[in-house]
Amino acid sequence: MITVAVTGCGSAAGHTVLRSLQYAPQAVRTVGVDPSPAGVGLHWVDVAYIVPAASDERAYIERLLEICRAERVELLIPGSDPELIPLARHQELFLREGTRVLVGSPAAVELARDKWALAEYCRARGLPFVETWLLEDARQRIAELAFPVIAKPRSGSGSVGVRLVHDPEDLLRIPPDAEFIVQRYMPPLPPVRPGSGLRPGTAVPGGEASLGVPTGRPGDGLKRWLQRLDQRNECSSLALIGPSGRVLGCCTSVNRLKDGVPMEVVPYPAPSPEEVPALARAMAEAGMRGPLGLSGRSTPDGVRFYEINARFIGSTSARAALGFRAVGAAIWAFALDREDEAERCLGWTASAAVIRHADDTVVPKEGIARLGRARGIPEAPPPMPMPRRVLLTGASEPVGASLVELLRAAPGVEEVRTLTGTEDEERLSGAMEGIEAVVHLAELRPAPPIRPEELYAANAEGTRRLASAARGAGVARMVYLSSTEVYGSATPPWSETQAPRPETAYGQSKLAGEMLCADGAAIAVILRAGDASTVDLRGAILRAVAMPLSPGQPLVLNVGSGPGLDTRRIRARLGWAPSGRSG
Amino acid sequence: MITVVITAAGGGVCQAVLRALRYGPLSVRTVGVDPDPMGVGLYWADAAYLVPPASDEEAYIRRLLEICSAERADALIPGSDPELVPLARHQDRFLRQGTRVIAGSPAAVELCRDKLALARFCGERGLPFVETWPLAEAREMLGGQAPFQFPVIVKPRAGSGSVGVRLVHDLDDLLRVPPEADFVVQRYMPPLWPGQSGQPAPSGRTGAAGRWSQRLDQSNEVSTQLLIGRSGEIIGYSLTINRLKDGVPMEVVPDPHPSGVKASLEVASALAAQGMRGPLNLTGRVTPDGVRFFEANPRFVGSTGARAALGSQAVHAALLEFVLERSEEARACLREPPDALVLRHVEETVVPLDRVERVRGVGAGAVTVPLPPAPRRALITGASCRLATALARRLATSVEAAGSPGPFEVGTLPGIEETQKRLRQALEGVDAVVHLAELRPAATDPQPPEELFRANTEGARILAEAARRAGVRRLVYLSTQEVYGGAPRPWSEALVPRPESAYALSKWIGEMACAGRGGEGTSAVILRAPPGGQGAAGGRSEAAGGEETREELCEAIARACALQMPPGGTLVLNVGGSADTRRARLYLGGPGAQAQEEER
Repeated sequence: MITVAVTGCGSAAGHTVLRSLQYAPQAVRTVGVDPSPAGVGLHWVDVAYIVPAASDERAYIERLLEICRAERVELLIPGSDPELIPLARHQELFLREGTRVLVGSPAAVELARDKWALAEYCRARGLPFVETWLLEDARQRIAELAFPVIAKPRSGSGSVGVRLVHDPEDLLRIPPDAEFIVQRYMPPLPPVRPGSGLRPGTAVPGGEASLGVPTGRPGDGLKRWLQRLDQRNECSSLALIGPSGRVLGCCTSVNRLKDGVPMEVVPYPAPSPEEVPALARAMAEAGMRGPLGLSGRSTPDGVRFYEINARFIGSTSARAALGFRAVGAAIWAFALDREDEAERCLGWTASAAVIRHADDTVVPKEGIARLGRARGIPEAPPPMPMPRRVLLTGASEPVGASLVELLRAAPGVEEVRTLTGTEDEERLSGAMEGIEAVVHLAELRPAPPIRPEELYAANAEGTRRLASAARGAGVARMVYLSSTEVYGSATPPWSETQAPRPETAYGQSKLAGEMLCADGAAIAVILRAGDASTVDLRGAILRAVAMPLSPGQPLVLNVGSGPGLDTRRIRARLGWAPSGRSG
Repeated sequence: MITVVITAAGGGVCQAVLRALRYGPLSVRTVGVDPDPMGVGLYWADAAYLVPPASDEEAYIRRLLEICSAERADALIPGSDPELVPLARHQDRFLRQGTRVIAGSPAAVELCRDKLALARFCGERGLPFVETWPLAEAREMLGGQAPFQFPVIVKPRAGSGSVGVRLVHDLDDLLRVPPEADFVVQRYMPPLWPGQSGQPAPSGRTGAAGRWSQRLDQSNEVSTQLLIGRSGEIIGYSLTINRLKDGVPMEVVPDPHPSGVKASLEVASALAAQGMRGPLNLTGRVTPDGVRFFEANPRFVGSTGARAALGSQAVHAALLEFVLERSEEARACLREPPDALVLRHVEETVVPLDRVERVRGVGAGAVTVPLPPAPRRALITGASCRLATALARRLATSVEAAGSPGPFEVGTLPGIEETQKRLRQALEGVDAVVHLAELRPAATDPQPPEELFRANTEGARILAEAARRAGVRRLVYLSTQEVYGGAPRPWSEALVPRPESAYALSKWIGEMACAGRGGEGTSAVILRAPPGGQGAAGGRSEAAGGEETREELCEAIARACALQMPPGGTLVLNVGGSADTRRARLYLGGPGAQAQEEER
């Protein structure tokens, strides 16, 4: 088990790292930090801390050092831009605590953050970076500029503040207090070397229609005024530079962005265009280490870059889904000193694309309030009100047996009944008397010589009888142990929000069990176990029994580990984190 | 299971609707449509089609009608703004073929889409809508005594989702808005939290550079989702305070906010009186004078999925109200929100490129929905029962259903055991399989559940898999209305089954195993016969069935065999008994279908 801390975990770069950890080969315990308790990543991690904003550098670094010491963090991954330079500057302090910060030298990070310096650096070395001028210089040579041009903050990222400037008048209107640079505009051409049969960007429906302008096509003047950038066909790469300064791998894709966020990621077939490793090597020479995001466009003269990010970029988890597991590789290389293993994590498939979209994490208001209060060491969650009488099936299995012991010892629990067999209806309804929560763990797993009909009879019919008796007795809460087999052969990552399509008899019997269990119960918690350890399962079930929940639709949560199993929601919903990977 | 088509599958609304349908009282098969093969909802839905953009109205409507007809869609949910007016305008054409468009009247939809008209409408009635002026008028007013102060909001008259919205700080910038733009000017309401007063702390970049880079502070938006029922009454609502980023809600926080609710209900009632029906979303801000709205969307919204996760299941409620006409159950779907909120983030879906190609193949350019020819060679299992004998006779004569007037060649297999043994050779050359063989529990000496599952569930699974492998086009599975068990009456195919016996459960999982896999391969028609075994019987028991029911079933099965359906599709229909059988009459035709259609 390795402890990894992720900063800025409410921001896009922070939670892409947390999502990527689903694909990492190591057993990882996660510590999340963010200045806001509403940072969604804080609700996905094992331990969450609120920290001062990085602009308050001293307080920020002190607090972070404290956290790394207390949690014995082995690797600290920066998740937002404002944190990069402070962390790069103080990385030695962290190293003394035993924490490696995944960041380059302060000089290299500053170089990447400063687009003008970067352009100069590249120009001096003959590297393909787009022509860049300081705003003042651009204004002086305004007659020579080919409009439109791009104007953007000298140290920005994520398309914030980027504008297409159509004429000299507009360029002169940029306020003097802005530290802006001007770059040559490269239209979003499809890549010279198409990634596959799919030609990225060609099928995007007319941008004008989506503007909702009712009559006709908006004229040029309107388009300009609305300031919508065409962000298709970005040539985007993620590279990983090892501690030795060697470029361990690069993954290139063609992205379509919306408001600076990549929404479609279509991979190039390996290897990346030669310009990518060349630039990564040049940055390594400047002292860059760890992840490096390179954005550019295809031009008739090859790839030209316009931005470098000295951190994991928003598409990191999309790339992990395609096989390029850069976060896992970084853990190998920086926390375990194994660059060879790291390289093995960096292959990818060009036979799939990634489409990105908004998704929901339900968080109890209490969870946010508790985080908000916890400026110091995290507040212990309030004691959970245990049900007085619990009925449990499957008590002869290891998980069930240890649960019985735990429940019996829990304050407030008066009785733990165990049940084997559901055939005798009278016995069943007798057993339900006075019960407040039923935990249904008993199941039949497919193994020879078990035949499919036995799976149906045990898992579906057994659950039907049990759930029916529970409904009859007015049991308020049902907890059902299901399986990730209900997802069938769907492409991972498997998330609770996708429709289950089981293909095996076992998967179908468990899905029927889920539906039967949820039916009529005021509160139903369905736990879909992947490769889960006894400890993980026991913890999850215990909280599913006791966590205060409002009546409503069944709560379906993945639990366990395994590549591509999305297990973030259980942490947010049950206000607790499993002990991490058990591998 | 009913089928619902959702448009604009690449957009946030369709994604939210698909999420919202995952849990609730109804069992829904989803069909996603979009002009772009990279629309992610296409890969979450059970079936996917490309359509022309709505700007090409006639081609768009024609293709959607075709898709709804081929998929036997019970409802259509619009997922984007440009589609709303065309769909509202043509909703009767959809209804004639059995598809209910969940939308208001064209006039009401147009009113919501036009911010200027809506502002005037509200102004005349004293309803709380932000002051709004046409761009030209606002400019003229600046000469004299303008009723507003800078900054102001300038936005497209018919826009939504924050597209084209700009904060204009001075006269100079206002004059720079191109004259050809159909824009409106709205008073700027700073993003106050309910109860907060005065100016909120500025966030992000400020000063001239901040103005120049045009980032709007989109926190503290008051957003109310309402559902207006068939007769114009408000079935339910949920009010949240949202924080948006680039028009996408990133935080959705339920809030009781009584005055906001009151204001929402007033505006919604006034719109209902104009013919607004179905989902309606009102967005506004808290001002010192109470909530003022600045936008009304006559559709579901991006936060519909988040709201459903919090217990306000407006999509299920809309289907209950508009498709099933069960208002009481619809109301029950709109619960009070729990003590939780939703944080949203960007997530990814991996799509193999061959699936993208397949969706592309189903026809951006295709004029018609490609349907495989109707089957002509049938195999009946459970040949020993009387229904099978009658069906064999019936299929051998001509079946009057779309595309297949001619008689079938019919083969039979006896009970379950024989079916499993001789399956492979029996399926050779067959294009429709009718699975009647089953085991019914004997009243006197009930079989152990294992035997029921072996015969009814595993039997169906083995048969369905073999049929898929053999390239069989149609599988007709005779199930039972007993699967509904404890579900509320009348029993509709839309309800999630609640089996109350091992037999009913064995048949229900059998249905699951037989259902089409979407997009390709065998399509399935699942017929639910009346409880009590009046219909099929095979294997070891032969229940005595009414002659009349048997004839009705026999006719329904014959038509189900001959039906033209998209590959991989699934159609679940009640036949006979006391269940709701309107859909069977509509989709299988036959006596009563015409009257039914007129009634609808």
